[in-house]
Amino acid sequence: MKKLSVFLALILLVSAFGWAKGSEEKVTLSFLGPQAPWVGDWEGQFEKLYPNVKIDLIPMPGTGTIEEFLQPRVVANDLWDVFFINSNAFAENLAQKGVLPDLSKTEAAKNTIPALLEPFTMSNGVVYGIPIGLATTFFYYNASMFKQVGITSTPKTWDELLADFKKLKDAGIPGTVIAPGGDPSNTWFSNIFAQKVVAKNPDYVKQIKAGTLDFTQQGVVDIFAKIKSIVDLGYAHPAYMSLDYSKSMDVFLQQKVATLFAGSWQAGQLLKADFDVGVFLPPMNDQGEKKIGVLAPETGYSINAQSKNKAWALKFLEWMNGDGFATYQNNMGNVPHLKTVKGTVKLDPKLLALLEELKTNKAAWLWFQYIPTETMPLVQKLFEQVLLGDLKPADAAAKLDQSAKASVKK
Amino acid sequence: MRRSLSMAARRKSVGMLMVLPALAVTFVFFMYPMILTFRFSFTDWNGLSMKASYVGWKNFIRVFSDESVKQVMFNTFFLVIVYVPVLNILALLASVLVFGVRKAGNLYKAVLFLPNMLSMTVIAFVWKIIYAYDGGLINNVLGALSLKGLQQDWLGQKATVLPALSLTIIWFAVGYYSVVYLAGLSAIPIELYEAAEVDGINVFQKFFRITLPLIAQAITINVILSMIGILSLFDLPFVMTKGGPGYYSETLAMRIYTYAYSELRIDYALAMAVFLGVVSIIITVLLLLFFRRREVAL
Repeated sequence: MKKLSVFLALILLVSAFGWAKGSEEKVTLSFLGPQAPWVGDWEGQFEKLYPNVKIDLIPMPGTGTIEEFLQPRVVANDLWDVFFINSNAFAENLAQKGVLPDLSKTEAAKNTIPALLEPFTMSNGVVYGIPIGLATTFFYYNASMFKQVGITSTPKTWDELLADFKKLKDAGIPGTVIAPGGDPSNTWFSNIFAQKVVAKNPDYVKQIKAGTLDFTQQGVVDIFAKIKSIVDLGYAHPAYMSLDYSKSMDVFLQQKVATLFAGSWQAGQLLKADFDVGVFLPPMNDQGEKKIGVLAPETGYSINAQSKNKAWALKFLEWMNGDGFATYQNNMGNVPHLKTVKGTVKLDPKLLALLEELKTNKAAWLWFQYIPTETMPLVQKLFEQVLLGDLKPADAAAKLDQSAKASVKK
Repeated sequence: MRRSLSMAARRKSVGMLMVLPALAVTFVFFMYPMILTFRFSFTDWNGLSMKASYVGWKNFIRVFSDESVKQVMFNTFFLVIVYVPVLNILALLASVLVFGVRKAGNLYKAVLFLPNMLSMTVIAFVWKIIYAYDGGLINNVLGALSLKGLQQDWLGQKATVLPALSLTIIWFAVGYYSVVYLAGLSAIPIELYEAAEVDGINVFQKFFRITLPLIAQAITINVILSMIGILSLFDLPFVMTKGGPGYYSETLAMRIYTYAYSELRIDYALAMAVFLGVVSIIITVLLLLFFRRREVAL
């Protein structure tokens, strides 16, 4: 009798466990995330922690902006559960409409360096996105090519940069890639704007939002003039008009140019090249000028406030910035945006030294965090028109001014 | 009489019932969106909410006062003027050549049609590599032939980008339009050619006096289809050049996309879409009137 009772109790216990497990809610989270081979394993770590959750990854293609992908999904009310988001007017618009939730109370937000959370924070305190790293820009250079032409130290000013490019050109090596179809706005625009405009207009973000910043000022003209001078002096790769983002990287990795002006988010790929790659801070300053760089949050993540899986989406977001961060960071080669990081994070010592220098200087955001959304596509076209000779740098600055102010009036 | 009338009426109503599902699909997926597009093009709709206020012709005025739109319209009409005649001449020549081949004729037809089986996006990626400055097929061949001086940034110069795109589109589409011409050629009675041979006319006279007039309907179809295809061209230039350099390869369809998804100005996009639709209809009607007069009825 006793044996029968124990046996029955065991049966009941196993059934109860099976019922509980079987009745655990099965969730599929749709995730617009990075396109990389390691992402599957990384997501797998979260799925292992929560076996009832499956992550359906939709890799973000390399071409097109995040806003181009989000816009039709927002209109169709078919947003992913977790997705990339930039800190800009488009995202703020979505937050105002309740599409993006307030993430200010999350652990991820509390653990983010305040200066990097600021661009994702609206004036009413709503935090609509969490960055996935710290973003800045570097000149990555082929150390062998530099050595070959006798460049022993990296340039610290604009004139030194031009002088080094001349040495490379004389040796038959294109100095750099200028690719209007690539990433000139994140790099050339953001840095020269920081150096020449932010220095004189510290409240530039507020001024642009109010439509009072004068884009016809010399600092903005300099952006277009400097890029044009690189091309006119013959320091750029010859296919400068047709290269896109990924082809620009390929050209550098194939050792067809000496330098690539690119983001810290590309460090993971570029520093793993099969040749010695060095980095230096962009020398957009003139002799005697204090360097002002770019220090901003990376593209971030947000969740769909109207999703039925909102709670799990939030859990995934917290995990991304918690236990899952070290794996993400070590694969992307990003710079952490968090005050304290769980796990061991590998940072290239070359980047660390430069970041310390950058943090001691004044810094500005990346261009898409302050240029109005409607004006953004125009910036690339203005670069192209200036390089084609269809527009003078001053005319390009005037068109930029016109567009930026028109978007505010709307 | 009454019995035959009710039979006719019954046949008519059965016919209407048969057509109704297709009409419903056409209305729901084509006509209704067109009506809404036309309606919203006169509003300030932002694409995110259903609120929209009437703004009159403001969107159209804003779109056509944009200087870059002039270049975009030039690009589109350049492609129409170059692409449509060149494509149709090449497709016709190819089909005439292939039609006469007895041995392996089907193989030639298959090879001609092969590019058309791939998607335009795939074609665009492939040709982007072919045109690439570094490692592209064309520049590599020129280098191998010691013609490095002729190596170009084919997609990066205003002088070469549109011809480069035209060549790609023609290569892609010639097979498709050849099929229509081949169908037209197969409908020509062979006795006409036999009689012509007896009269001693040569190959060129056969082509211009017999073949060309008798495939007039096929020419009409192909010219109109190719014209509409070019007016709505988007995927190829989008993948290959993103409309660059500058605006030199941007088409009207690409500009609609840019307004809608890059600048997030749905209202401007709709105005441009309405313009493109109206232009397409006008050109189609004019072409139909022009070609119908020239068709020969046997």
